[in-house]
Amino acid sequence: MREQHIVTTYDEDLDKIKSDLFKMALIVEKQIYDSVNLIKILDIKKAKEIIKNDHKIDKKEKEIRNLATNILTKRQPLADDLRKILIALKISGTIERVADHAANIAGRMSYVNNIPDSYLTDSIFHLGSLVLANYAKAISSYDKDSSKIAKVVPNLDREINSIYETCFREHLHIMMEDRETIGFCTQMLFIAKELERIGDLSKVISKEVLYNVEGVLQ
Amino acid sequence: MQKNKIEAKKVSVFYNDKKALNEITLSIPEKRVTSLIGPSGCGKSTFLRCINRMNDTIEGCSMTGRILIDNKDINEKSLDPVLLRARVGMVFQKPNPFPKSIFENVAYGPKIHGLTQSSDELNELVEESLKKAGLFSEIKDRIHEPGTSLSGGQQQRLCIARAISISPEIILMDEPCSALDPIATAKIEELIDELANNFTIVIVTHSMQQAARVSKQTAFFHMGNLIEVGKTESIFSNPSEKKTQDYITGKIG
Repeated sequence: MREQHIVTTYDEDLDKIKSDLFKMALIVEKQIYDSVNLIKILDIKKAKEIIKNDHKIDKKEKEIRNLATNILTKRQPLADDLRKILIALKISGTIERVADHAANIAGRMSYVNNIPDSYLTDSIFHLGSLVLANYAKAISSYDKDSSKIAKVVPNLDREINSIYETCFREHLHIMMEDRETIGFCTQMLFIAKELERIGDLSKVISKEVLYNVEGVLQ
Repeated sequence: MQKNKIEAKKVSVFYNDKKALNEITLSIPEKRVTSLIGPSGCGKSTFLRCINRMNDTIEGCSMTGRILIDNKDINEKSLDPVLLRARVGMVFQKPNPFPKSIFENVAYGPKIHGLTQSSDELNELVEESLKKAGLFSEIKDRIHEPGTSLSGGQQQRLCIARAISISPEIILMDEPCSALDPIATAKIEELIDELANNFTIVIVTHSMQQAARVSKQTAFFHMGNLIEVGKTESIFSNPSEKKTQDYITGKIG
């Protein structure tokens, strides 16, 4: 059983900030999932929905920030309690940025009218799937306070970066071979960059989890 | 390297049969602030009182082990506890000025220890001590009024002025701010910061935040044992012992 504070409302506050943040993280996971799917199945209506959802996430971040401020004021937490609040602040800000990138992908896809016939690769969708999986790992490490899971995230991110480089070169070749694809491929490269950024931010989340569990900044 | 001013070696204290402190070994660095924290009855105040042999006056209280100040055992028979207490000043939880004027409160120590040759010199010493305690500017026009007419925070600073007037090397503080409001507390903490340039300070406090603010080293006591000692920063951010962690975060141990 978990250690309890003498003041039970303190436990409730800490539980609430964690569960609120995890809920926010799950909403963002769905946003990434939907925006990555747009790469495969173009759906303007869905794209607009993703963009519209973004403000909900901004609102959630503010709520978590207010809750954290409130706990800091009321409890003046120390040691592991303090770390929980510090990482909740950092992770909520990071997840809010992840959500911005997901919305940006949806924004890019809403400009795309049709996919050129000569565009046959699905490497960016593959990149998106990996980024989504790594983000899911990062937030699961937060949920479970697991340094073991958190330590996997940077390794997968290296793979993501290498696939991103490959995508970049591949798209240069596609554009050189068929000028008609330049408009579309440019959008796709921007999307790849957005995904690569989400990969980096997942790594930031995993580092915060490690700091929380191990008590030392990596 | 930082020189240690006080070295406690396997210090145990008994009140009759009851063991209040269990083989405490602790080094206290010179011209630094060390905080002693822990729940009520953990032995931190008892330990503090060992440093100026205040426990000598308590009937049934005995001590084993050694306490060295500048490598000299303070419990040696040849050593006069009165002279020891001139080197090791103390400030208590509740301000306790003498029922005399502000001036007399500060002048008392230097007079009995014969530290000054003339009244001019004494006046100067009193003024200097009150200045060091951050009180002079507030009370300079009423220095001959009773010490007890001051506010709680001012009285505590008067007690600090009284303690430093005889130029001790060490100042012990037993919860010096627990009876004070936040503003008076802030002034005392500011003062502790300044005093640390010249004195070795050991402070017992129940406020974790105060310990975190004022001290460089923190020692955590629990049921008569020294559980953990280390840099204040690491004790409050990432303590190594579970008991420390539970105590400072207010968990049920």
